[in-house]
Amino acid sequence: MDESKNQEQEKNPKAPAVKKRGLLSRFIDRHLPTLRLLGRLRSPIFMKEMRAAFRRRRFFVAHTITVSVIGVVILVSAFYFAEQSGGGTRLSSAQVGEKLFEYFILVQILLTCLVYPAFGCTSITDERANKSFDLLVTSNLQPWEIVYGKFIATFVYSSVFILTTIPFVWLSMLFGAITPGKIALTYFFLILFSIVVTLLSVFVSSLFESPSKAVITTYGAMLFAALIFYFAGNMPGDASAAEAAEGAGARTGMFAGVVDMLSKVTDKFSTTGTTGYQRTYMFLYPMYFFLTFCAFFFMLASNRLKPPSYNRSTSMKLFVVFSSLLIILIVFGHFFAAYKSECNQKLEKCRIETGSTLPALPTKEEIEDEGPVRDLSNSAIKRWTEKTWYKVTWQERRWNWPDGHDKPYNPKNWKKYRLPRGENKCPDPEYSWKRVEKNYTENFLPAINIWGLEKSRLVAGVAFLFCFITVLFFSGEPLVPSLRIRTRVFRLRGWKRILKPFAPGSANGVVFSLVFSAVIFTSISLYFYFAADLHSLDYENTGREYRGWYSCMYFPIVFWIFLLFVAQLTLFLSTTRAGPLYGKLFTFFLVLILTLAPILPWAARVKAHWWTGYAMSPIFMIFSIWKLPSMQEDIHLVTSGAGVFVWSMIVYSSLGFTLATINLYRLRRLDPTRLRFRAGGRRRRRLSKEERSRMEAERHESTLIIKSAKPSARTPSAAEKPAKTTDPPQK
Amino acid sequence: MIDVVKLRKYFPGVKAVNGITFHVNQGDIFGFIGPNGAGKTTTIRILSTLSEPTSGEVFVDGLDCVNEPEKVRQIIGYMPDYFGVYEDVRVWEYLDFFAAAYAIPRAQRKSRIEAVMELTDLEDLRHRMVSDMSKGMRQRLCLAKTLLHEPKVLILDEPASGLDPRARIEIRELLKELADMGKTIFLSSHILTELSDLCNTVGIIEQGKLLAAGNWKDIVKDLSTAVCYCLSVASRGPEAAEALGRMEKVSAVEAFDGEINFQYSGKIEELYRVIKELVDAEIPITALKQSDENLETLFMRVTNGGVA
Repeated sequence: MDESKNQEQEKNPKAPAVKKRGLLSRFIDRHLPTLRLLGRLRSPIFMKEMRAAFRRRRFFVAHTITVSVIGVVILVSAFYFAEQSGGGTRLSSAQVGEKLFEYFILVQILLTCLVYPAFGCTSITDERANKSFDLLVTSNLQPWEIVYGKFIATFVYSSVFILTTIPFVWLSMLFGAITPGKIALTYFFLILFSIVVTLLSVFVSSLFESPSKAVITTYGAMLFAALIFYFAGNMPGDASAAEAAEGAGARTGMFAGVVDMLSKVTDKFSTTGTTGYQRTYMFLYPMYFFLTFCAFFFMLASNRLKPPSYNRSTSMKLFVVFSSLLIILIVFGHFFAAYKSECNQKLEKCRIETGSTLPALPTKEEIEDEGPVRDLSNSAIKRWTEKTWYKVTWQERRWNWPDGHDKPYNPKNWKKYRLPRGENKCPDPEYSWKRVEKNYTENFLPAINIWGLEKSRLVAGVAFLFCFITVLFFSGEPLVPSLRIRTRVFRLRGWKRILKPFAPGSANGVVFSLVFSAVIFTSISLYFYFAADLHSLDYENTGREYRGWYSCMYFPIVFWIFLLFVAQLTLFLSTTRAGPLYGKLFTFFLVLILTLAPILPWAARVKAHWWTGYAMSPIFMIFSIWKLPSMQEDIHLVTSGAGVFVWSMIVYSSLGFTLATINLYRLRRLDPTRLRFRAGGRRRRRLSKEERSRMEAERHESTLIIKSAKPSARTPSAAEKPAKTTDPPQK
Repeated sequence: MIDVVKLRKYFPGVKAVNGITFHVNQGDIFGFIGPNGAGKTTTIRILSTLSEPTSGEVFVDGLDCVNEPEKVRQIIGYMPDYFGVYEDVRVWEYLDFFAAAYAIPRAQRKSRIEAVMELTDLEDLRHRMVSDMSKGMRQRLCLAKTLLHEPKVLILDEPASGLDPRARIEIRELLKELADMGKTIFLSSHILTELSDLCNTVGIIEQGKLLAAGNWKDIVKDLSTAVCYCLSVASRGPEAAEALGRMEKVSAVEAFDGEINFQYSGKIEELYRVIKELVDAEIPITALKQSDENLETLFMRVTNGGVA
């Protein structure tokens, strides 16, 4: 095109000169498709939205009012705190600064929760309501480009509200204690939070046709998230709940979780004592959750805008698999880093105290002299159990002899000595100590041993919650995928059939989510069984060792069976007239009721019954692993828990397998083209050859039926010939 | 250019489209006619890749609308029956936005916008806010947007609905101009008189079933074994009508002031017998002419007013 114009220019010098395009533009347009893709990040939707938004008078009015109100609130708070006395004495300048900053964070979070969703939740819904959505979708814009454009426009537009309040926060610096670094860090996390909120609202807007529904759902979701934050910080059995109730003051509230997160993270970063790996992981965890949430909402919203025949499921399933792998890697990396740090500190301490790297194992004479419980150099044998094998753990420096304390010293027992990596040969105590030391300092698996047990509760809790969401999400997919997908899935032959669970459809979703949960649960059980010391931590706290078998044996099995029940129930509801959406909602609320049911006896202060319900309530099971209950609650769980577990396993498994059988029966009778189930009970009559040929002929018959006012007048040729235009166009 | 084969679209409890098959050649202006609720918009939405059929196949320029919707979208220009425009932007900004959305290179964007504005007579309105435009202007603006990426096929759902007569004529002329440019136009409309001027092929749909498709004059011929005639008489009209009613192969006799309409199903060579009988009965005939059957009468004959 350009060359032809240049030639024309040479031929006719009087012709207007063709404006040459920039080198970079030509380079991008011609040579680098990837850069062209990046060029699409300059979203046309963003440009259009900005043009429209900043032309509206209401933006300037709303902006002025918001900033004025915040300014007044912050200034009044500043004067109030400056005059306030704490415990009879006036607050110091630094305390005033800190309080002011804390209130400022709260106001900013409230503003974020109010402003961003207000614009985000109507971004795509407005297009639908204005009937301009079809025009947008049929353009060349990809679904992700539409979501990206809407997101970035909403984010920039709303951020003007947040960023113009920066001058007010600098007020808190005048009082001291607040540094520019802390303010910058706070804004950094605030921006991350606002990005997630914006994406959530854009996702909700992609779901609904009407703006009012989108607004209600977005703020409902925000409120729900705030309540979860609130209850997660105030769970019964949580020691911090009492502190929060008594002393946290402004932090106890709907946004306590976010405020706490922001304050604690910024505090820790300001503390010079925080070590390198702690800082790294302090960033890694929020960044992981930030990226996961962003990707999750972004993918969901993009999937909603995809053409109806497109696959919306496989990408989400891959996302689930990769995000779970990533968090496992991060958590294991964290445990390993923490262990290495702790191990180095202990080794150093040991060297200083004993002059050697590790104390020697007891000899036969020493054990026979002092019995099963004895002191070993500086570390005493702290606990004794009859159920475990003879065992050495380096950190605790203790010996547990399960069945031999009343027996004479027997070298055979040493063979049962279980090393962390499964070594069972330990003829020489000295040799085994060296192996122990070697394992602990060089290998990975022991790194997540005792140190990681407490943290492993968190991992298990989050993993189980994740599995539950996965089951609910994928089992509630549309029953029959589109024609296009069905054709593609049908082509999966041979080994590729194992990819079928990744395909859309609620039956595939059930298989995928249950296999995924089983893999996660098995990993966690193995992790508990082999890596974590099941007999140490809670034994020391409570004198009982229920936690080990409870965590690694019963709980994952019961929870998996519960998930089987949830998956089959959702699938069953999908096959009824209610449809997938109502199926998901029904299951969600059923689980919510199961979850909240134990609150009633708890509220009535009948603690024993509370724990009975607790064991039956799967979501609370998650928290039981996540949180560390107090001594009294432990006893209730141990005394009533096991029986209830067995009972709940029977109930959930019988329900789950019954529903699975019904679902299998119904799905086999599903006609995917008509979304109808064939009538059950009777076999269809086998058609005769004539009937079959007649039906085949009818099927292939042209659909053109020319209906005439005079049936007799219809010409046979008109009825038979296909409806094709043969004449040339009339121009 | 457009092939629809055994297309079905079922909604719960409703068969919106029930196995329709038709073909539109390149350069045709295809009028898709049917009463409200017949399944026109559903078919158009499937053609525009906005909806997926329950079964059947739909091809546009050989591309499958179900399997390759993104490729199909590049060659079609879709204008829905009801559409919204962005209120707070100017006309050129609106077109610039869609030009960017259609991934038209920045260098060509301006010239392309100028071209479509010229075609749709929007040049003088380039700086006008969209919110200040009338419905007819917006319709032209939407059509301009539809033409930006130079589509081969235009799919227009009721393009002239709600427009005043002048705007209708403008749109009609514009469509003719586009057809002259070689574009295939698939449009649905209720205004049959205009379609008959504009379209060379039609498809008539009712209750989700295609009743007729093809060149509409051919369809008229196929349907009409009886030809309509209009007889003018100087006097004795009722007697002439009575006489016609008694004759063989004559039906649907209607007498007005001095004019009698009737249908004759016999051979044209034998029509003189009818006239002879009337002359023998001393009916003062002044003229006999064949009446034209238009799209409206065809539509009324073919459909019975049911919905899917």
